[in-house]
Amino acid sequence: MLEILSYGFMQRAFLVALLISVIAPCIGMVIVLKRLSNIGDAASHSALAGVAFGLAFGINPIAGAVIFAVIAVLSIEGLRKAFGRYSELSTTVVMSAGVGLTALFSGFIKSSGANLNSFLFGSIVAVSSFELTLTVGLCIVVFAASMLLYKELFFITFDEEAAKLAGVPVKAVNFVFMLLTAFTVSIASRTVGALMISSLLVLPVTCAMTFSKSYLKTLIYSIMFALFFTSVGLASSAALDLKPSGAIVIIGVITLIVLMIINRNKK
Amino acid sequence: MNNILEVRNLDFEYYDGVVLRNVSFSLEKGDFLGIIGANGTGKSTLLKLILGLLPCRSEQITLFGTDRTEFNELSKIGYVSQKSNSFNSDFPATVQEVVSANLYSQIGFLCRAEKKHRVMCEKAIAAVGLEDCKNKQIGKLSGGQQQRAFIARTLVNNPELIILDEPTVGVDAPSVEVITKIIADLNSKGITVIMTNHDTHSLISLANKLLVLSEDGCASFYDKKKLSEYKLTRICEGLEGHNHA
Repeated sequence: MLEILSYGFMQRAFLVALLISVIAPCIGMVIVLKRLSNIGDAASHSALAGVAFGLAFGINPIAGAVIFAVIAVLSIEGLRKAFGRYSELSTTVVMSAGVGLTALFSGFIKSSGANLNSFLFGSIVAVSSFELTLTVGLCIVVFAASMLLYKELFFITFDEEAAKLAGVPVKAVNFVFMLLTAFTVSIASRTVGALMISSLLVLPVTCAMTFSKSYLKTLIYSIMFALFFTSVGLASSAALDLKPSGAIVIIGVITLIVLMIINRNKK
Repeated sequence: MNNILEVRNLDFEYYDGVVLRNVSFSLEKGDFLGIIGANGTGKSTLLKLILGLLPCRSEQITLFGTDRTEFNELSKIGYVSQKSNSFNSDFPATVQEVVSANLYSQIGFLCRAEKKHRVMCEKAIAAVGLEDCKNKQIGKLSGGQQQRAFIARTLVNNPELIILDEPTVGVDAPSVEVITKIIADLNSKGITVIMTNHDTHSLISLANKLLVLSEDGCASFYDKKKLSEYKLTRICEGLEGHNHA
């Protein structure tokens, strides 16, 4: 089993997966607790539109993904206010736009569709040195920002009005958080897959919330769950010749179901 | 500084109509203001205007001698909202985490809490008698315990003015008694209190100043010690106010 780790591509795959496992729950915690779980989907589908745009018009697809994901999350925030009581529609509208644009731009891609497909389900075992550097850099930025803004994010997520009264720069922190979400989703889309990243944002946090009582512990357990899903997912995909990103997500879903059954029996 | 709050000719309207019309009153250190009025008479709106959550014109509200629009000593004011407005009971957060979050203005942006902040947090939790619950998930506590935790959250900054919006709504009778006693004790220590409550009798017994809001947006301000028993009873029964004066 350990033989697989002797391959360079597998070492890179493990490193990337483990790094994303650390940052995804940092973003996922706020998204889940603010009941904005769909934001990951909307951002990743928009990132996919950016990838298609990049592939169609000769721009680096990851750069395209970052730009489109940033525009998407900022649009969600703007539309939430515009829709008022139906604010949840904002994510659906942005996701629809992302899917529509992906379909449109994909028609302009001259090469085969293989490249775009690799962004749908990720290509974690084909991570290049450039992508590894980018992922490491991103992970450091997102993790450092999440830790620096830990108490601000907690306060805003728990009670935005009280945070505002206490002097927390709510708008600025929300803006930075949205940017971090866009960066995480777009870079992770390349490695974990646009259709998979929102699962990695949500599943570890949902698992941790089945038994954790404190915010800090929920975050720590979420990171541990994400690390567990990715390492077991990658190992099993190598051993059983499965798609890595699919294996990671399915292990997450199975873990959640087991935890829910245990919880139900406790009650 | 004895003048804590001064409200002068305050008007406020939403797009669908006037809520407050020409409201004026002032509070000094140690006052307890009970705000009385039926639903929709602007009680919560008035509190939000004082807190700066809704905009007002300059010179309409003065806090601790400073115009509301320029006031930034946020730790001087504590606010307990109607918990149902802002609280997700499944949120994984302990009482300690919720209380210490409000130390933000003392800790500062991007800074870490120090030992003295943890001591302040413990003290605030002890002041409401929740020492045994400090590591429990706030959403799993009873309604009364949750509201005590929110009072502890305001106390952590040693505020000089506490604003409570229906603090006992949805709370069981024994807890109402505990919460009422905590609020009365805080007021007896010199903390100025502004409170709205659906239980007018209880509010009138606690307060020394009363503000009665009527449906046309007007307000009548009373000093309780200058009121006759007859007038107090009429206020209590909802028969006294601007419309009935």
